[in-house]
Amino acid sequence: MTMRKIKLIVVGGFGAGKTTMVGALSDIAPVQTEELLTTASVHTDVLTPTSRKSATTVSFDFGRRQITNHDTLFLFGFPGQERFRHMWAALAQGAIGAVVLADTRQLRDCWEPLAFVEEIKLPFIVGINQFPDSVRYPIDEVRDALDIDYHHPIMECRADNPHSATDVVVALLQHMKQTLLSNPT
Amino acid sequence: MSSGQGNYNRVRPYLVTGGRVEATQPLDHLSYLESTGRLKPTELEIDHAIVLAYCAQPRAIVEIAGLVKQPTAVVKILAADLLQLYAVTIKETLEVTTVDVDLLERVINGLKSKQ
Repeated sequence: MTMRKIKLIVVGGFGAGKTTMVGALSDIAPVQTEELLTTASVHTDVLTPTSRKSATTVSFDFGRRQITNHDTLFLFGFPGQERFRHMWAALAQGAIGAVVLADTRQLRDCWEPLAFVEEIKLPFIVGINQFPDSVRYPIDEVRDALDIDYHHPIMECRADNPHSATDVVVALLQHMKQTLLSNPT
Repeated sequence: MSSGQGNYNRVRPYLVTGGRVEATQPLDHLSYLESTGRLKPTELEIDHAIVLAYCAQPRAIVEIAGLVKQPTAVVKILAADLLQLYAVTIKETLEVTTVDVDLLERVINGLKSKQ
């Protein structure tokens, strides 16, 4: 039987724990890969040694997890800074859902990635990564601060903990399932 | 973190590809390559040989790129060469882009059972 490839993205601000989470979810040691893209033509994805001005590089994290003999989950973690915005769509292509990691010490860093997943209408969950020195805020306060609609799931997590990271993905998929069941097409 | 240059090779990417900027056939990040056994890595130039060595088991282009520390665009060009030599084949896979309840349940159960 043909292997089914299921892609998820992990986005968030700088230092929110994206690399860590991809690693916690992955069966293999996560790899960091570079993508060369031209700012003018994101989708053609070719190297252009002659047009130095438009070649841009972004690196992203990649991991995978075997779910069944025929289903493999692919994890792409990439930076949410504004300057990479033109590449997000290319990197998110084919993804079925997103984990947006928030760090309560720098909450505003996750506004951009959050706006991005909302813009491309990707189902998402917000994971509030609990760092040892994070102040714990009530979840509703974080939801309000990030202006996230009540129907989008948000939960605390430990991005470095495989169980906790897996719980976030399970919660995202359960949310997607509920959405499908309540809006049959 | 994920935004630096990392420990990437100092060699310019287009030197690895012999100046070529486009793969001879369209390959995706998640195209799966598998060695056919027709050629041994030792029969090839170093950059192709390394990619081929990682194809001993089926692997996605993006994963190979991470392992050989080359941009994915470079690995696509090298992989296309290997395909032309029939040193590797593309394993047939299916990219899931629309989800249904069955798929979600299967993945949820799979994730839970392996925790």
